[in-house]
Amino acid sequence: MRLRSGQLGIIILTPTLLVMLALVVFPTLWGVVMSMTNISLVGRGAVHPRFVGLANYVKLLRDSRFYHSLWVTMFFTIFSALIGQVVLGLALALLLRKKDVKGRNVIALAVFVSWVIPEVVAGYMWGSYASREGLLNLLIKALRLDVIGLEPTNWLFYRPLETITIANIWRGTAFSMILFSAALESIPEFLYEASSLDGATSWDKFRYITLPLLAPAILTDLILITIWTFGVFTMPFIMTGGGPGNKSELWTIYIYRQALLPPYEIGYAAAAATLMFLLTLLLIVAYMAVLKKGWG
Amino acid sequence: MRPRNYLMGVVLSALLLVSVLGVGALYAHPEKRVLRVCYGEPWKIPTEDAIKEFKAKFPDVEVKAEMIPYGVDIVAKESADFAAGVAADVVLVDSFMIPEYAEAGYLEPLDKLVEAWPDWKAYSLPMRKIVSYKGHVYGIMFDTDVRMIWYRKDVFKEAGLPVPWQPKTWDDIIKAALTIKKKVKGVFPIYVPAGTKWGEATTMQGFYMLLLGGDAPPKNRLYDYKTGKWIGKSPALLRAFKFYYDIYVKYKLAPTEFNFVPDVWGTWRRTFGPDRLIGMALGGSWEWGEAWGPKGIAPVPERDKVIGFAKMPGWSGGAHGEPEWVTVSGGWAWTIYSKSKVKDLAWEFLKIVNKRERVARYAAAFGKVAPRLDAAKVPEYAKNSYLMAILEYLKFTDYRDAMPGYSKVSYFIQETTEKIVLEGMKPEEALNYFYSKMVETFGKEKVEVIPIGG
Repeated sequence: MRLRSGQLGIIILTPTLLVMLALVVFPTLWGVVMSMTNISLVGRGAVHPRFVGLANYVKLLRDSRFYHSLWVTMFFTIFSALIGQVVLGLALALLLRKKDVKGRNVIALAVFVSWVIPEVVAGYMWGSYASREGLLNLLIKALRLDVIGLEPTNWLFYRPLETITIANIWRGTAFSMILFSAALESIPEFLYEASSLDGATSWDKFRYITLPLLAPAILTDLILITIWTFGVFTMPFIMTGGGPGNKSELWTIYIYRQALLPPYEIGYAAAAATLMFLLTLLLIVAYMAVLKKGWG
Repeated sequence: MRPRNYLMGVVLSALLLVSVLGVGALYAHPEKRVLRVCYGEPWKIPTEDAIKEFKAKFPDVEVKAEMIPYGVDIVAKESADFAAGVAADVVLVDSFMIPEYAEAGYLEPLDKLVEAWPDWKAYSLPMRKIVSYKGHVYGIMFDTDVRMIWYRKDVFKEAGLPVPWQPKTWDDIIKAALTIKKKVKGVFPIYVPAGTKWGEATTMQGFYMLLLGGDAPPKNRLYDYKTGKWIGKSPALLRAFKFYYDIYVKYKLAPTEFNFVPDVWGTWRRTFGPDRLIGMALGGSWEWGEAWGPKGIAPVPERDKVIGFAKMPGWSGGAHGEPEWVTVSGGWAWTIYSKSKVKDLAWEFLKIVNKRERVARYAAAFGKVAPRLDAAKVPEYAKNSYLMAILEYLKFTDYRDAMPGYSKVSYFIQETTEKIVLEGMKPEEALNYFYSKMVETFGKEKVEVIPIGG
């Protein structure tokens, strides 16, 4: 019997589809179902959950803490992913391409180390680094940075959101750097040589050769890290737990705190998670549209 | 058919048969029974000791120890394990969660087992009550505790305050703290846990110590046992919130930051102990051994000389009908997961881990109060002067209102104290905030108001 290529495709895809169905689609749908109940982690609601319709969503949309977490997440994503990691990643990739820069291996190693350290360990490291008696304050004192207005302080308490944002840049830059490095490798050398003959400056080369040819990579990078950063939980959770109060409460931490700490409301947290899923989906669709239109 | 092929066929068939049977036998072989034991790192030493004894008695059983390390929220982890259906067979739980776990059907009732267990008589009535819910026993208390004011004798001396020190009213406490603020530089005069990061410790170490001394019983509680309602507003609640306001906001005597560091426990133990950054604090009796003892996590040299403790007074020292002295007890209990497949082994483990000698020796080594009355017969325990000194506290100790829903109420307390210390919320506003949270959660008809100024 001969298979048509369509049938063969289906057969090959089936195992993957089944796994996706079981591990992605089903849990997502189950989350939606749970978001319409009053299921809780402990107590009576854990055994006898009731259907409550859209009550959780209504309550959520009236919860100022929810909007606050949304804003915290936006800040965190824009500054740590879009600005921090992309710009720094690109700068590092360009730097590492220059053969005459001394110590570039050391820089590359430092960036990689931040990436391979387990997140929990990194979280506690930052907790200690940014504490009142931490290394950061010692550096500030040693370098006399108080001259430019940087005073030693308890960073996790007084600047929690800024601190977790910078920590996330530190952690995530390696990915952007690798992606850009690979993309840079694919730009043919002769383009630069030709432009040199035409009298192009370094800036011209960057502006008219490197940047346009890197654009697809930049867009891919943006999509991936935006989605990841939206879902970041571990390191900020360990560093501040969303606090003090809820000053650094990311969306993910908000969901965690609703479900696994008192009030232990899993149904309510599921509603927040479902909204988060929809928003992320929207972002992906928007990016895909741009990708198709721009550099497809 | 050639005989040779025939022979080959027979041999191959036989081989196939043997291998199938062999594999079958491998699987059919009675699997080693496994007992999973879950506990937090503070109980590492006595639990590992008990596991050793258990293994010696049941060599055929494999024991999997699942220790939750310091820095992880034990209650959150265990609650999630229960809810996900993957909890260990034996779980050491914070006793205040027992009603919520029992309501959810996570715990196995132990009524018949404890009845047939001679040692059960060694547990006092309060210790049996903590682990009971709606007439069923769900656990066995492993340790219990009392709470007190810890103070630094060296700081007090430097401030010119008397040592030993025993305040008689809340005013005495605040006055002493103000003196420290004036006389001793670089020290936070007082620390009372606040906020949600501390979790239950905020409610237990700080808030209950204030609430219970805030008014005459039974108005000094969170739950009215006569009406079956939660108390959402009362003079005791207001006085307790005001105490936080006074020390954190009005007089700025307490270190707000310490409530929000990644490791609140470690920070408090170090800053009060070896670092000498705090003058006095509300805390639990276990700290003597677990934190500042020679085997503790933040040992203090010459501990007995520099650290002292005093009883927590009622707000006016009993002059307005409130208790003269206040303390509150909690503790951890061994339970059996209702879905365990080795409940018989789990019970055997419970009997071993709760043996009198172990409970007493562990309590003595870590300065914990043993829940077994017969622990005092064990020499290590009886000879411990610290434990003998805090025996006095057991006479007036009290318990949390751990009814179903308590963990939510407790969370609202933590949230309210957080608003006070972070945002400077006034005591009256704090009371209104707490009340609104209670009404929102339980409904107005389930929340009682005791008139203020009445």
